[in-house]
Amino acid sequence: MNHSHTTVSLGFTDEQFPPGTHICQIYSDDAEREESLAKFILSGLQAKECTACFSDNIRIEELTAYLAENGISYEACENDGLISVVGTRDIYFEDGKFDPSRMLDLLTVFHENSVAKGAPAARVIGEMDAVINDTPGGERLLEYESRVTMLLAEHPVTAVCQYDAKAFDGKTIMDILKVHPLMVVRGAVVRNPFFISPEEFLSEMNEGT
Amino acid sequence: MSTRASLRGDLLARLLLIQHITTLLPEQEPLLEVACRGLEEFPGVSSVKHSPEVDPVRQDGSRLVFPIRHGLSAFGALVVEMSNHEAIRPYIPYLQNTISVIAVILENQARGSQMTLERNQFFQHSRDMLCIAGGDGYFKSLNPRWQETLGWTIEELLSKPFVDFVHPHDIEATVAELNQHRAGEQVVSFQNRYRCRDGSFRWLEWNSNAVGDIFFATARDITEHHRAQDVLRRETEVAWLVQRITMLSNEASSMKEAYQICLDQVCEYTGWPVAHVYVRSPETEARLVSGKIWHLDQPHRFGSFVEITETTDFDAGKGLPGRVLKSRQRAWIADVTRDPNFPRAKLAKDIGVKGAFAFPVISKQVVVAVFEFFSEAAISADDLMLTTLADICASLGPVIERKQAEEALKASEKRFRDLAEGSLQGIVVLDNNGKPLFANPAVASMFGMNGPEELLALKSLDTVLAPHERARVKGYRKARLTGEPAPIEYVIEGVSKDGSAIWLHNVVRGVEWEGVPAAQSTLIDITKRKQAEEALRASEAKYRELTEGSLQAIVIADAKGKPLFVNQAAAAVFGYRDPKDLCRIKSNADLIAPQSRDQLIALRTSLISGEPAGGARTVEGLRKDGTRVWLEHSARTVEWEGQPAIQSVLVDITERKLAEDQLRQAQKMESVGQLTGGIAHDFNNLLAVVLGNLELAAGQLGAEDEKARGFVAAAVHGAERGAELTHRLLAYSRMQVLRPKAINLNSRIEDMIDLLRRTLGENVEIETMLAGDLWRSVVDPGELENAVLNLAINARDAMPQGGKLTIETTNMPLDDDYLATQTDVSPGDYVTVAVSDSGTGMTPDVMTRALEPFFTTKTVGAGSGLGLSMVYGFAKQSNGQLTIYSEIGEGTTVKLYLPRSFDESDTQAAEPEPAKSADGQGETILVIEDDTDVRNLVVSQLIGLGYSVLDAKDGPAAMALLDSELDINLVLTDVMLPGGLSGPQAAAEIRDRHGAIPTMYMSGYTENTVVHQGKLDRGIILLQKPFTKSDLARKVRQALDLPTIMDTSPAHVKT
Repeated sequence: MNHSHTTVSLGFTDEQFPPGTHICQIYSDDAEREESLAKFILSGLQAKECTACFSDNIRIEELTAYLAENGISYEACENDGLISVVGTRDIYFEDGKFDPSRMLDLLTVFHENSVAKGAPAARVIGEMDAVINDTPGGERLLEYESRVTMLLAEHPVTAVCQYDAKAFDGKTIMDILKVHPLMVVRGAVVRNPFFISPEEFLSEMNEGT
Repeated sequence: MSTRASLRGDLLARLLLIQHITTLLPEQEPLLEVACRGLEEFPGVSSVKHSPEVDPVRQDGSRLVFPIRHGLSAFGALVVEMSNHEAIRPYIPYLQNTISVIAVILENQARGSQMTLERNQFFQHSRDMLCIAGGDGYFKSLNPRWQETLGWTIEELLSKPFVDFVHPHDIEATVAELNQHRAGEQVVSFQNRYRCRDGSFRWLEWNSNAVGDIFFATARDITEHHRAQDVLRRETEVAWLVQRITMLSNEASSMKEAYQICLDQVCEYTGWPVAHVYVRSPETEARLVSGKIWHLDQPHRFGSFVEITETTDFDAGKGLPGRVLKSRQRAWIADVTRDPNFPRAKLAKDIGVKGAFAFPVISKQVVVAVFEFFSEAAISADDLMLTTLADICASLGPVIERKQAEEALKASEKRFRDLAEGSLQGIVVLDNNGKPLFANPAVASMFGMNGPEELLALKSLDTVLAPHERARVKGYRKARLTGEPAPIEYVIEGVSKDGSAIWLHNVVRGVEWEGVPAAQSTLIDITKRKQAEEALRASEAKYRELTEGSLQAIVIADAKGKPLFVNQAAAAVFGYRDPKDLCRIKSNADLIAPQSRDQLIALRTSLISGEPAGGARTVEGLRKDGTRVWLEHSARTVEWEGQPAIQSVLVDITERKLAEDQLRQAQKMESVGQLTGGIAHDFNNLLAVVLGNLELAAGQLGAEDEKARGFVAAAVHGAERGAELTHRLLAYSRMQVLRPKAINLNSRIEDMIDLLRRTLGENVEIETMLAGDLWRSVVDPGELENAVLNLAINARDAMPQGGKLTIETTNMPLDDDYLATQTDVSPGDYVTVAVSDSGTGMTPDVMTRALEPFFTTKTVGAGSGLGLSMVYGFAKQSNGQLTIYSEIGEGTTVKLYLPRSFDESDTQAAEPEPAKSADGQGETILVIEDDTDVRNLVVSQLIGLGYSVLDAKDGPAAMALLDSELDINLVLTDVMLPGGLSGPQAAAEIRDRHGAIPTMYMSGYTENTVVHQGKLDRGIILLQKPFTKSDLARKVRQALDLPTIMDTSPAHVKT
């Protein structure tokens, strides 16, 4: 069964987006990050979408309370398999290394499972940790993000990647801009003028190596 | 224009994004790195680096240096290395603006420690405004910077409560901040505006420290910063607005939705309550009609305005929309209620709108829509807003263009689907790999499928094509993709679901299907037609095979007679080597002799109009070399390659016709011969009586009857001429009696030369060409001489002025090939005698009739017309042939073919010499003759010769006499007798009863009772009528004197 949603709500903006949208959020304020995360999860669960969150800085009690205020039971959703929260380091750096292929497989499986469950769509919000710069395979971050854009075309999971502006150097931040078609600016989602299509980006990267 | 606008929008968005990101970064290093990296993405920029110092870096044609400076703070410079100065030049002001924002951010970051330093050490000399204020609301102390910044003297400032200098809008907030101090908050930071001495306001940023009831505060003039921030904020907002409008309208599902998004976004940003879209009139480009698309904050409030607007059209130049339509430029009206060229002014006043702004949306050089916005307040022109709206209108143009195209495509696709669904033709749309994207029910049905879904499930349409077709179709597809020539119309063989072959006529054209290039095939099922064609082709091939190999000549021509097909036999009949050559002639009428053409054309016309063909006709054909050929022609209508045609079957009957003619001639000759033979027989009997009696009468005349004797002699002469004539008739009818011998013709002809010279006269030169080793031939020498003489006389008559006569003899073996043209000659060796003259020659008609008896071209009395007939009869009776070759003006050759003799000796016994005395010596002779006159004459003559005579009128009477009278020495009998026994039969009977009695025959003409193949049977003595008494005496004596051993009995005589 195909997902029937033509558009999805991200929660933190009023606009609707097609499933499979790949968005980058660069933040400097933790409160901003937490707000986006909570709203994104809430709107996903409200739409009965399979929702995943990769974060080491999530406070489950506060999230549970926030969801409860909006009529959603975190526990019930967890029991129904609609929500899964995993630590950033646990999922991204399993065995102490960053493996883009494994992550892409995970995303594929996540989407396929959501389809199997009959969920109308699937979404994921992930917070990247700057420790990636010192993790084996971390140099493949940009390749990974670029391939995520390609993967989402076939497996339309709505994905928001959160990057802490204070934790990454200026060059990395500018590079991250290049691999996300859309980004969050002051609470609005805008087209990213620095975006380079994955095919072009990967080709340039290969030429560079 | 739109590309430039879009590029500009894109680069502006990049700058804004850099500014945004930098505000997120608290450290100088990553902030500058982001700036450098981001700016490197600009056109014409090769690298951007941060230099801690400004001075050593020089700006030149390939390098721009942007100092990062705010107030007294300096953070080095950004050094931009350029690859293309022209490309970056339009963006330099934007870059400067961005860098000034970065400078402010950096300065703000550094601000905290710097301020403290100044507070503590440089109160008096600080560049910032320092003060100490009391709980009573008055300044207690101010450094000189205050006066420098605001213009007030220190005294003036100290003389009033400080809130008196605060902007009225900021007083409340300022008091609130101070109350925080009072509530115990030690340090308060806030911003407010202070009035300058000139009435203007400046933004001050306060950091206040409360110690008890005293505030120690630092104020920094951040007016420039605020102004920069304000500009930045507005620019950012506007850029995002443009970007959002572009993005959202791009994603809109329809043009109307795109318009609506634009209205809503602009109104949301500006806070204006009314916006509307005019669209181009469908009738003319020079008029606008309401698009009925609105943004209305309070719909009920603007009801009348909406109603009037939606029913009012604007021509170019009229009203706000008309002005925009005409100028193709944005237009701004500060207060529409006062604008003379705003027809809706009163309405606007009623609903409470004043300011108005409108801009065009231009697509493909045409104004397709005009947006108009209304504000409640009168507004003045605003550069940023004008630029913004120009950008919106520039970016909307391509979007609308695309939407229009999309909508047109959707409408077209819908129309296509509607048409295709109901079409009887199969329609299928394939992607570049042959995968079906669309199929209508008809095409599914052609392949025997239940519905289009089944076809759409195929990976490629190729899978339902016949295997041998797949490479071809794939090749065409590839050629189309690479732009190489490929057929757009062809027939393909497909395979139906049940495995049967189907043939489809396919017309292909390139289309765009849901935004991707595709190929549309329109298919017509021609399986039945193809099968019929195949059957027809097979039938035609079989027919062609049959006709090509046919021995009959076959010509198939169209309704005008143009040959379409000709077989080899036909080509051969008409003298062409290759049937194709024959096909090149204009009309088959050219193959027919002129006298038969009308008949052929009439036949063709009647056949084409459907009349029955009728039977075969004989026509005379015309060969390529001009010679004629006789043809039996039958025709019928046929269908040839789908068109009515006429098939002619032709049989060459030239030889048959020749043979028939010859046979007809021969039969005519035969019947004439029968007739003349019969006449000659009776005539000879009469002549025998006449001559015999004249002879008897002459015997009775005395010497004194000289006159009477003369009369008798004349009568005898006339009767002899009659006998000569009957002889010739008998010769022609081949009923004369020949006595053939093996002779050498040369010697006979040489013997005749003198006679011929005398006969032909001096005017005729005679030449002989006699073959040296001429074979002997079997011929009656007398008759041969007679024939040659006749031919020579004819030749002379053909040369009245004289000429040359040539007699030639040759050996002539006749083989089957030659004989194929003759009807009654046997193969074998012949000796020919050709008599040629150099005379007038004969016409073909004369030649045809030349052999007929009594036919003559000579004047009356000059010839009997029997000469050539007699020669012909002689030749035929001698088992030979006679041919005539003649050309008008050249002469005539008559050639006699006479059979060769292989017997070197004479085959006929020489006739015994008659006895010296022919008279009788009392012998008894029995005469059997049915003609009383002849019998009486013979009896009289025999008695006169001294014989004893018995006579009988027929065989039985003779038998009766013999039975009573046995002493008979000779039987003299007519050959033809009535009474049941012929002469030979009677002789045989007599021999049976009475032993061997010599028998002698007499006859008017010879039949095969005693003469076989024109030659007298061996041992037979025949007396031909009419005869003279001496003839009778000699023959009777001869018969009586024959040795008895000689078999005179015609045992082999047939009846």
